[in-house]
Amino acid sequence: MSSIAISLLDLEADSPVCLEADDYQKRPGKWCAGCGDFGALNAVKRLMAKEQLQPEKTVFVSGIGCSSRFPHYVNAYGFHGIHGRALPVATGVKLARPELDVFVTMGDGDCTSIGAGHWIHAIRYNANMVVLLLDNNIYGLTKNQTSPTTPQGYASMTSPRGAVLPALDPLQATLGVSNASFVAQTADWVPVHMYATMQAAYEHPGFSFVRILQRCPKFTPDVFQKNVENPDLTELLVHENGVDVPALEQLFKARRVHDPLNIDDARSLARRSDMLRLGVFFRDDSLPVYEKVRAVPKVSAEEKVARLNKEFERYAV
Amino acid sequence: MNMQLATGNQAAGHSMSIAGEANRHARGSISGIYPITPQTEIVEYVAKFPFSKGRVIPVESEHSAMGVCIGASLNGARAFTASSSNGLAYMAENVMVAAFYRLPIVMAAVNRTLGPPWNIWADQGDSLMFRDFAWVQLYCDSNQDVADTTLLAFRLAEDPRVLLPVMVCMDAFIVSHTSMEIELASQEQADRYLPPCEIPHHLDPAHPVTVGGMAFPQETLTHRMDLDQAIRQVPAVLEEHRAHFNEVFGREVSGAVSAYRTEDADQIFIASGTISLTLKDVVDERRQKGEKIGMIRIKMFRPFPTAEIARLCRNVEKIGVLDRNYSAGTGGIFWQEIRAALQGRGGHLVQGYLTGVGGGDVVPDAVREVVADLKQRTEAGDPVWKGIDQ
Ligand SMILES: Cc1ncc(C[n+]2csc(CCOP(=O)(O)OP(=O)(O)O)c2C)c(N)n1
Ligand code: SF4
Ligand SMILES: [Mg+2]
Repeated sequence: MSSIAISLLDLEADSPVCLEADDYQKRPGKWCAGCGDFGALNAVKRLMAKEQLQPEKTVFVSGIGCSSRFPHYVNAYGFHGIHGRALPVATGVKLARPELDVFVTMGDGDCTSIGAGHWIHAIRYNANMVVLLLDNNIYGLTKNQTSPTTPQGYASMTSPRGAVLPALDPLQATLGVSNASFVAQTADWVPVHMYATMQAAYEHPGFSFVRILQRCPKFTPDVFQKNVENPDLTELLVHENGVDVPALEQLFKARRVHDPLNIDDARSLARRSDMLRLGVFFRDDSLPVYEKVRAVPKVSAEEKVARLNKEFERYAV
Repeated sequence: MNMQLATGNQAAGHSMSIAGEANRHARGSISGIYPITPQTEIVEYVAKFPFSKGRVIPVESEHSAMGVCIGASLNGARAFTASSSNGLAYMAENVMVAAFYRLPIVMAAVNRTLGPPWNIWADQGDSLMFRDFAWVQLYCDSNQDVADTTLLAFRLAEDPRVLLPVMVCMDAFIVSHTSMEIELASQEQADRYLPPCEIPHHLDPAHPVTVGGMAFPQETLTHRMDLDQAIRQVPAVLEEHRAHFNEVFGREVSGAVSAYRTEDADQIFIASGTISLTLKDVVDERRQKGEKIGMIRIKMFRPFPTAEIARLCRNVEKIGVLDRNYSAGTGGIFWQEIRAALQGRGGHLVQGYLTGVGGGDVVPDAVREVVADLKQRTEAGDPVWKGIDQ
């Protein structure tokens, strides 16, 4: 099956066909060689195959940026929107059709810069969707300008003398918003972890925010290099309610059992800069989900007629 | 002379930077910057410039870029920025605020097609969406024109009779990214040409005021009439500052309208931006074949040079307007303005042509087709779309 291109129309809702990861690739990804976005796309495809997501019931929404080209490469519905505005569009999709699986891909500029206002509110709405922040610490598509997550002192075309301020931390910011329900961090150079994190994000009923540290060999080749080369600089947060990949035990010696329900620990771990931490920082499946809170209960035809009749009776003479 | 190869973006970046530096004897300069193709090189140029009194702030969006300029300008700094396309669209709310507060901010607008669908090529629809925002709009035709018009823009904007923001527009890539050998102004020349920026209503701690109160209809009416009076000063004030430009730089900067071989023409073609250069060549070519045609380049779209257009067209029968922009359900935006300008002045045939909408190249052959079309016309019709694959 994997060699056959699949169109949305070929698939019946209850199709017995088993889709493989490559069936979810619509066309070859166009990013620079070595770009971390390729890895993220692979992890997404694996997740889709694992869950046997129906392309016609899956929607990818993005903004603008290298990372926002994602929907073009996934065999599902795609909406390549405007810069910074993916989240309100995704919220609209989810409210109109709560049964669809919604994925959002954004860059660090898209999400934490021009789109930061929507980010805060989408976290609070807590609509059920998987939100991938592909964070390469730079504006990639416009070719090398400082983003809010660019490390302090790092030079770019708009900050030739180095970024002036400490970088914005998307994890701390997300964890600070009321009703945040799932906050995780993973890295494109640990594909197994990235896949497991996406799996957890998909299973979480709510707004699953995953920050993916994404290598951009073109403009920020060195920002993650130390961590790529030396796994001892990374600590994995492990827990049965979070992500725990036994296969990674060999590689990553530093492991910390962290209960994702503990928001205080999550915040203090996010704040610490002694090590890079990958894993689920916070997860609470019990928080209110917007499309559920706002759901209009289905009314049967009989009930509608009964209500109408009751209303008419008020005017009976 | 400081001749060098420079793109339109570099020309704009250079002129903005030396204009900002020229204000070091006053309150300095501020630029809020945010990248978007194809203007990014302008803000990158500004970001690199070593201002001795001023700051460049890489903000988080265009809305903030203009916001920073507004705040700085209210405090008397010389403020400038640049954007394109959807960046301008997102900035829109503050673009209006800049004019309504009478702040002499200068913005380079590199004309790029609005998305979706995503397209980075030239189309004037982005800056033209601000036609009713009380900004002065100047459309350049070449890199030299961008370099010079940007300096002129500061002079014009800050003139106490005007005090309005000015947008300096150029075609994406054709100007923004193409190098030409041009003369760039020196700092010493900029210092001579641009007096310290003096905004009479800048915030003054000795006389605290609150800007932006609630206004009743009558007060708002007065405000709009003030704006109208100010923008009506522009044509005359522009001429003064062009003359002064000539004195300082020893060359001419193009004015609101340029006419070419119109004196005895029976047909006139009107365009703006780079299309006017192609048009000029075609006019020369047709003249050699004995056709009496001429052309007008409109540089200043706001305020619209109604009287000048009417004067130049008074003796012609037929006018063809080439627009690299489109207002849905109507036609080209310059065409609409020209029809309005000529209303009741002798029943010209004014035909609109949509050329290069969405960024297509407007090659000499396309202009030749326009010329041939107008020639055989006995009446005007709907705007003609050019460049559509049949
Ligand atoms: C309103 C608006 N402003 C600016 C741009 C230009 N622009 C396109 S992508 C981008 C930044 C991309 O950076 P990021 O979101 O980090 O994505 P990356 O390319 O790094 O994946 C910018 C500023 C735009 N498309 N729209
Ligand atoms: S510029 Fe960077 S983020 Fe964009 S495709 Fe290339 S490597 Fe990837
Ligand atoms: Mg980025």
